[in-house]
Amino acid sequence: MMNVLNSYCPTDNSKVLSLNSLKEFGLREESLEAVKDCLLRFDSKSMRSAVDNALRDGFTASDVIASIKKGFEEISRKYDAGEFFLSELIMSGEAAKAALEVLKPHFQETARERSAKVVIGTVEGDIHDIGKNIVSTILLSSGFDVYDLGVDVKSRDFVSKIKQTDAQILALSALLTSTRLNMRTVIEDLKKEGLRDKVRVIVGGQPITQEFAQQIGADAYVDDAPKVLTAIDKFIQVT
Amino acid sequence: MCASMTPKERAHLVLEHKEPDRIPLIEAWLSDVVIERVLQRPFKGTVDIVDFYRKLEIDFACISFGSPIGWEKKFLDESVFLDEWGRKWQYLKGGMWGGYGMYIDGTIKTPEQLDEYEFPNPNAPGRMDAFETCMGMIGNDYAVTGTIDEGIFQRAALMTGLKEFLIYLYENPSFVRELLKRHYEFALEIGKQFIEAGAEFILHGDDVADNHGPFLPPKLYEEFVYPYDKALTQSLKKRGARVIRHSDGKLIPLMSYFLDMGVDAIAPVGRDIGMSIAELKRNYGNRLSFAGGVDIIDLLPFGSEDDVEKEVVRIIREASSGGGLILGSSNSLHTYVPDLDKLVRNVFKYVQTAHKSGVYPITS
Repeated sequence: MMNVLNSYCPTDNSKVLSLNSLKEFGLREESLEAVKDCLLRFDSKSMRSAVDNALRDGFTASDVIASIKKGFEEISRKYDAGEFFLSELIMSGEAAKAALEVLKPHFQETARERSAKVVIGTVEGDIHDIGKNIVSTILLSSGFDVYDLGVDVKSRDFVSKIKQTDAQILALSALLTSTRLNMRTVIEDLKKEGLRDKVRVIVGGQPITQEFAQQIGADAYVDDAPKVLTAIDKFIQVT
Repeated sequence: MCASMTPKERAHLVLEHKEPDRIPLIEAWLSDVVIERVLQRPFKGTVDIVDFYRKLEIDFACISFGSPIGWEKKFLDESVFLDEWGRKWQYLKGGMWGGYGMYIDGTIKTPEQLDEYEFPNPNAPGRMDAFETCMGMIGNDYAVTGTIDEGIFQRAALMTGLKEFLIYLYENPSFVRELLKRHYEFALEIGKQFIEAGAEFILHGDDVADNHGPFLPPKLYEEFVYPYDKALTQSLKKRGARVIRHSDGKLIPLMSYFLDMGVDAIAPVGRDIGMSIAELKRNYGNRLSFAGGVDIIDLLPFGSEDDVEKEVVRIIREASSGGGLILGSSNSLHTYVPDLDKLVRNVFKYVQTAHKSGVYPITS
């Protein structure tokens, strides 16, 4: 950041510049595009240097995260259209993790800009976690504070984590026809604890459908992992 | 017209895309607990599986290969155990999966561990015990089907864990190839033993997809998995067996490969997994038969008996013309349902409806 400020704004190096203002100064966006490309090509090795370059060019960690988020939105479209497959989704998640490692020391500056807190987990009785882990990685690398409670999570543990963190989003995963019913229990428990109006609940997993999500009173259903971003964006717009 | 063929005659005809006397049925993966409820007696072993098929008049009696004589699961605690491959599984609340638990973890975590790993012996005594028992009891009449569980890709992937395996696909392809090759060799040996023991039908179960689509892009399936998948299918067919290829999930992007390798049927199919049986028959019905159709995600666990009857009749009307239709659940009869009694009532209803409404000639 300092290098860029010195290059583009040498008289006011204490000013924190936003992406828009950097654009005004003519900063090229190629380095952010490179980050997105690494995600789409799930190239973890190049991702590290791409993120380094973007930071060196003066972009903030938030800018990089926004670029990764855009990449996942594109992946979501491709996955939905059958042009992207699970192995590629996993590999793009690995590339996002590589980006996060480089960004970690810069998170302090972006902490306030993180848009929401998300509690996520696979419901009680179910130990499947591939889909949940992909969602978790996408959320983390898209700038959300993520509290991943793992698998076989009891309803009371979801509720307690939401109380503790003031999370605005709860993402529940299930792969079994039987365990999906435990999603309803979690929603009921949120009501009992007076938290239901404060938390938006997203459900997903193989046996979950839009109809089922409506039946149990969830706020959103996502049929593939990257769509979680669209769902949360809608909440934020509504809020 | 009354049913007049044996289940085996029916099975051969349906795989030749011809109309038998009635639509045959298949169920491949059964929970012991479902068998107990259907037979109303404790489950003790292969004899009960045979009686299940006989009681419900299910034509394809699918029997998996067994563990070696004397081998037992190694329990790490009351619910977590290691299987013969050293992979970790867990019995979960809410039901037992026909002797299996839910997968937790693999046994080979790094490529180096493969060098030291001792693979189970496919020809160990005991592998064919259950199959031979079944053949002895009903082999003359029923389509006793040797089931190669977890096939090539699935078993190889679960050695490391699916996620790890898919990452190795990109980062260490030679390791992936070696794992696939070793499991192809295992699957082929099992298949040969089934055929030597009298199997005319082989169910090659190997999950390569979920409900969204294949786990890996078709071009990678073609490069890594397809050569072994094809070699296994063709070896089994050369030995005279008919091959039913089972994989969970939406297989549409891989259909051309299954056609090319020469499988006789694809299982399971169903609207709930994005594989409409009527549509598949329209597109591929002259070359492939299809098995499944009856939704196990929502219909059988949650629907009313009336819902079940209507759905089975709908499938029969839409997809029975010209043969090539084998009715069955869209995956398996498992116990991960909230109301097991309801599931069993609905299973009886689907079977009864199939027997009643599936008699050819059928007017759509």
